[in-house]
Amino acid sequence: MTAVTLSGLTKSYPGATRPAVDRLDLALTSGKIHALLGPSGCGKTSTLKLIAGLLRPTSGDIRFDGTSVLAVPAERRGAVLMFQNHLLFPYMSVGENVGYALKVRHESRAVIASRVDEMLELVKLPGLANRRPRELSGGQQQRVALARALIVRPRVLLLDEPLSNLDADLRDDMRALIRAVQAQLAVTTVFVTHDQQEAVVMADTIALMSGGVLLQTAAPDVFYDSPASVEVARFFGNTNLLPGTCADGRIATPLGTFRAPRSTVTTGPAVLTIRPESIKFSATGQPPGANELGGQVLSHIYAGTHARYRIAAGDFHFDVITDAEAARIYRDGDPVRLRFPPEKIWLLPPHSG
Amino acid sequence: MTEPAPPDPMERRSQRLTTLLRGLSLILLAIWLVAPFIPLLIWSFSFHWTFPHLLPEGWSLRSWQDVANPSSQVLPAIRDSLLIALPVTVLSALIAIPAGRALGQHRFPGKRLVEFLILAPNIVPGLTVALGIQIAFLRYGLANTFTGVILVHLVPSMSYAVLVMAGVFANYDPQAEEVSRSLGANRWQTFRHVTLPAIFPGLMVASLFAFLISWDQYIATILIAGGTVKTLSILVVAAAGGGDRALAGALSLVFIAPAVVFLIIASKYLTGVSAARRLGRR
Ligand SMILES: Nc1ncnc2c1ncn2[C@@H]1O[C@H](COP(=O)(O)OP(=O)(O)O)[C@@H](O)[C@H]1O
Ligand SMILES: [Mg+2]
Repeated sequence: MTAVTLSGLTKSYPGATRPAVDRLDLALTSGKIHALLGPSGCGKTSTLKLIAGLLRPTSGDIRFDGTSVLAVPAERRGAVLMFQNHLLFPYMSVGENVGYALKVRHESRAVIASRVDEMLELVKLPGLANRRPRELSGGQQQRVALARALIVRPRVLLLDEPLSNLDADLRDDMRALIRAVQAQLAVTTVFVTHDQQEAVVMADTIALMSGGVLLQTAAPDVFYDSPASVEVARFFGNTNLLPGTCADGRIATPLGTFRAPRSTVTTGPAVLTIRPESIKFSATGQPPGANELGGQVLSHIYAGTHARYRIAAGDFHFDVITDAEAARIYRDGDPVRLRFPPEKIWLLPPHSG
Repeated sequence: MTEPAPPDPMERRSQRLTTLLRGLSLILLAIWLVAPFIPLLIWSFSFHWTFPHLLPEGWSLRSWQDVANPSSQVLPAIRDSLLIALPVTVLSALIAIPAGRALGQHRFPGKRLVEFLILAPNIVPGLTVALGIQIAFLRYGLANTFTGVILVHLVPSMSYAVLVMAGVFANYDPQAEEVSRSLGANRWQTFRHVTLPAIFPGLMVASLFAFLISWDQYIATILIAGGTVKTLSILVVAAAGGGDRALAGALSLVFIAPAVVFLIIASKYLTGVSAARRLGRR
């Protein structure tokens, strides 16, 4: 049970034009799974290595339970890494891999053997201690790597895209296993991924990074309901953006004025966002009412459980997703009426650049 | 996993052909490697052998008895050669691991220049290098010492070893080391349990090269310590220059022996499979 605090954490590689990790402030509560999410190259792995003590920060501090660990070498930090490939030491048996952390602590053979069996039990691979890593499937190797990482009860477990080499259904199994084992041992876990969906499924909180900078830290649902910026909204699949000017809980846009009580901006230029699932959809009959506007279906994809439409309204395009319960399937060219429920609208500051 | 299906006759025939070709090529290779030694072998057992004759006119064990005789100085020469080649090998390996790692793993400004400087002593004729070093060594009192000879041999031995290890580290992924450290292993434990097993075959090859290069040195040894250090190669060259061809043949064979032994050991690491075992099985 260790709380990890990063403050102003910065890493500049020699010769790089900008820092790989740029003044990161992050509080990782004890015993939870925290996803570090962001596109490839945004500094996730660098952040993990900084926490593990494998990289020296250019500036900033890392504290475990309030105490700076910058002076503690990697082997004594108790922050254990697991990568997506090169999972296991190929020259050791499965049992030797799992027991490695105990062996380098000079534990007795008997202690190691019994703890190894315990850990293999925990990851549901009993009796495989004498196998060689190459005799195991990818998913089994993953489990062994997890057992090896957890055998000494690390203070922090650092997972770097651990599932990205697995097939989809195997990945679901491993997600469930990691969650179960993590909950059982209550070890503070940082889970790096570039997959937004995976972060949402796995994590208690998500820290979204881009270009070395932290964009937002919050519980997964917050990223859908109230993203901190247009960039965050886009990363989480919200592509419906309508610029305007807001005042008194309303926003005036080129497509009319909308009531919008939820906002980060009280007055002045703002961007209206609304998720594709939140837009209500009906055939045109009467002229558009409050928070409604008329449009036309540009294209649609019917996907069985839902249908996805692209709607043109004035000079703007909106994505709309309707569930299978929707009254009917519209065709390209059909005129439609869109309703933006006020409580689903989220106003953001206009994005810079 | 399913069992492989039993091969059909066509396949079996082509397999047999492959085996035959492989056997043939092995025999050719063996002849290619062994042929140069045959005259040496015949010479070493000859009593009298003059030009037009295809084989010696008489046979004798005399040269081998001479080699075995203490007065031949063969044993002290082997000892001197080993006293130089073994430290050279160990030092080359110790230098080649970090140096090869730096060259193979990292990019840094001037890397090409460093690579060139490492190779340079092998491009410039050895005589020039040794002459240059000799002048410096005379000044520092290293001439005519084992230390001096070891230092001189280290130049070519180490440069080969470094290049071999640079190749090894060019294909090496340090992620496993990071995992090891995070699991609580210190730098030495990580090297011992994770790095060393991964680079071991390459390190063996680099060490064998280093050993053989030192074992072969002649001019450099003579220039630095001709008066005091008498290695086997000096003895062999002296015998070759003398009139006793039988003795020269026998000495040459003794001189070559470690190379052959090491080549057999090294072939295991070069191919990943023990060539010796494969030969024995077929
Ligand atoms: N050892 C290194 N030396 C120089 N630049 C590096 C090094 N490792 C990573 N970088 C750079 O730092 C940035 C962040 O990399 P990384 O932390 O691996 O991102 P991510 O894991 O999110 O893909 C990238 O631009 C990458 O090229
Ligand atoms: Mg990465």
